[in-house]
Amino acid sequence: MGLSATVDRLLGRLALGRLHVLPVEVPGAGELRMRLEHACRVRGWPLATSPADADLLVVCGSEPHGDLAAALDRVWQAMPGPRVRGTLSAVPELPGVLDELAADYLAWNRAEDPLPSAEPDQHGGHDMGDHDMGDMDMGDHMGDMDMGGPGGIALASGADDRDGLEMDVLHLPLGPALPDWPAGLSLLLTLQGDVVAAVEVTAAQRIPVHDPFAYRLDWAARLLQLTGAGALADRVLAARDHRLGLTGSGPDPVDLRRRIARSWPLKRALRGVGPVDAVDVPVEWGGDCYDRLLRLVDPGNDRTAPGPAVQDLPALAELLPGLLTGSELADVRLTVASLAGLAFIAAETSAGSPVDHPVGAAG
Amino acid sequence: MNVVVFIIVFLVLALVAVVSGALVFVIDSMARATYALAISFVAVGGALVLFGLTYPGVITILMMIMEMAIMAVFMIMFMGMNPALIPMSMVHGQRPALVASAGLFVLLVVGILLAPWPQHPHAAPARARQLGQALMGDKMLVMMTISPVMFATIVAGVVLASHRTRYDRFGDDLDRRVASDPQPGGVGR
Amino acid sequence: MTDAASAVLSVVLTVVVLGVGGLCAAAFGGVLAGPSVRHGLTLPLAETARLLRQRRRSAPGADLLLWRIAGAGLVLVPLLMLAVVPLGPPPVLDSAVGVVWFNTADVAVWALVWLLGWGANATFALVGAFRFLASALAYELPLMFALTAPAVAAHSLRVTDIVAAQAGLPYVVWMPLAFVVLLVGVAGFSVWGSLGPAAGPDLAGGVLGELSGPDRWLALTGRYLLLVAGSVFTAALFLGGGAGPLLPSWCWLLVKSAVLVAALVVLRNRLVLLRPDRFMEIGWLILLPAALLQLLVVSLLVTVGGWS
Repeated sequence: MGLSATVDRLLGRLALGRLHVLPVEVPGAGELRMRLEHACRVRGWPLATSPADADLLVVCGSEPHGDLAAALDRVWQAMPGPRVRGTLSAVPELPGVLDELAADYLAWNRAEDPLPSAEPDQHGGHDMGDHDMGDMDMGDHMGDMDMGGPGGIALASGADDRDGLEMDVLHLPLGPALPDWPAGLSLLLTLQGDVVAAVEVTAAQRIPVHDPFAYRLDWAARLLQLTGAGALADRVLAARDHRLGLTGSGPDPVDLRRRIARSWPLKRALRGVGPVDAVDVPVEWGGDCYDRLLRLVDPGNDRTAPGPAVQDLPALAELLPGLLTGSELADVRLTVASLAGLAFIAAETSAGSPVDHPVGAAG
Repeated sequence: MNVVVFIIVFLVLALVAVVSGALVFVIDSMARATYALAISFVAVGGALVLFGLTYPGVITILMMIMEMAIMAVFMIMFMGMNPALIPMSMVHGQRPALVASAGLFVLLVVGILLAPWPQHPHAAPARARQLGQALMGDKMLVMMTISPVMFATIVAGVVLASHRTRYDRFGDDLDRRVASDPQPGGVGR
Repeated sequence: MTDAASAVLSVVLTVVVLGVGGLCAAAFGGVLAGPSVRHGLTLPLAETARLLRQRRRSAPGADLLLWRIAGAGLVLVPLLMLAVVPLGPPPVLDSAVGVVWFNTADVAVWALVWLLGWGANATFALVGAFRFLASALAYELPLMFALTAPAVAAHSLRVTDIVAAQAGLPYVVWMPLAFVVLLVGVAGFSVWGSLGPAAGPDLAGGVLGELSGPDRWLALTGRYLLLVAGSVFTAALFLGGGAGPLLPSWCWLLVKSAVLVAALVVLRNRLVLLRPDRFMEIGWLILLPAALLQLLVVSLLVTVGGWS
């Protein structure tokens, strides 16, 4: 669609009040990401739900490498434009980076940034970014059907699933750049319909953090967002921002927990999701998502001073294949969000036995 | 409505119905075939509305769109094959089918041309009650009990064919308070 | 006023009511969500500008024809829905089966949202499309029975007759269950709030996740327009349409519809996403019996009690 330059600039100016930001967190830069989210919220810039929805791609943290860099390239390719890519490596840069990116957004020139042609990717499922292009299974082809499917991608082959139906097998990476997903954890799901048939962990890192309780509130907010309780999620985010010192006052933690505990729809939505037997895993992980949510917003968090800790994603990753197989995609997102927030262990015990000394035992 | 306009609209609808119906067998994608069929039925519904049969016409359109959407669910469940854009063949048994359909078409055309249509059709619209009385008359009670019986038969058939019975869900003594399902429902039964 | 002029006025009024209604709904949502009132009020303008400036994209293997049709259809269907409602002057289509016409339009949304998800050839979008169909299977039948209740009371399927029959008492007073079920249905076909897991954040936007540029604008606008059209129809069917003292009828209809739209916008993220596996039992075991019970009570009151 060719727009004349003046119209384009006018539209750009009008759009500046609501640019959609996709923050991608390099493992270890969680606090940076949280501060970025707060800055965006203050400006009224919403967070993008997917690359197609994003105008600004902001990488929080030091230079990414390996899988994350490949994922970022794929996310960038999926952004339609006008699109701007920026990096945020330290807190003082924050207001400046957003202003710069806004100026770049305004100055974006369609001719200088051609969209890649819609070529199918020839690789297998493993090194793709967060939004896979559907069916990639190169298994046996059926009968007399042509191997070349739409766009040159092979069709998925079928297999029996949990409920006795023969459904197509799809491979979906839940990867490094997905919103509301733990940075440093990558899974490759084998899906049939939206039921998970198998889980393969492709990456799980131990991530050092400074203030695990801010992260707990952050994960509680993300869990609430995934459940659809956006209003409660916003309150928890206000508590998180207060914890990080970004705002002068925040909601009363006791009141917050009470509100969440009183919400009957929330209880019905999360009860029975992702049940974990607290055997061989930290006690905090036991129960279902609702129990874990209540632990995440426990008022005791507010009283404890921040200290160094580690997010023990490998321990979480050991649990996931057994836990998630047979559940639906929504349950996978909710379960991982609830467990990721409780996976923080005190740094001095990380070399010892992380299972016995979880952080936040007051909860 | 002007007779010429009426005829033109009717011909357009008829053409759309026939062409999209034929496209169902030619098109490369299950999803496109499904919606070509939907368009064909919508055109037929439109023709019914054109004849003044508004309620059957609109209901036909409603039912057919819903049916095509539900067909998408069944395609995924039972066909195992994505409704993808692939070359495929939707026909089999071509010779007998052609013979049967051509024969039926001839029969219907002969019937339409030879039927004694009234020369000056009634101006008054047929009222539902009069029509019902004329069609069903004394048998109204039988007619009204048939439909719940049919519904009960369908439900019973689905229950009998079900893979997991209540003994799988509630235990051998039917004593489990909450059913054990791979996916719990919303009411917590 | 001649017939032709009246018809043109009705068409223009329908388009204007939908457009302004959608704009206000989006602005109100923005005010509730955003950092400031001014920011929220400019939300529709800012988002439209942003999306018009965005390029369209397509995923490899996407069924472009069906995908684009779905987005455009989501904007046309609300027009069809509103065509049978009297907004002051007689409606564009004063059909004798107006209620069934509305029902047909909302079933057309099934096809459109499914195509939106399927056309993108992406896993999340496809899962979203099937979530929508599963939710639709749960809310549609209760919706149909809820629509039947006012028709039974007014002895007619024509929307103008139903509005006229409420001159004494709006139907919501003695058909509250049907009213609630219809509102649930409106939220359902607008992929809104609790009934919007098809476009949920756990699926990275679901059916909307792969859309960009004008296509995204059409789909998002379509959702708001469906919400407004459904609310206006509910106001006509249950709240008495334009009936009320002092103000002219079109004004009353707009006020009542605005209340419903506002309620739905406020509730958008106050509850939780009802995923289809959870909603299915709610739809069939709670909503459907409620709608049927309501219909039984209404039928008895109308035939035996002589109410209307």
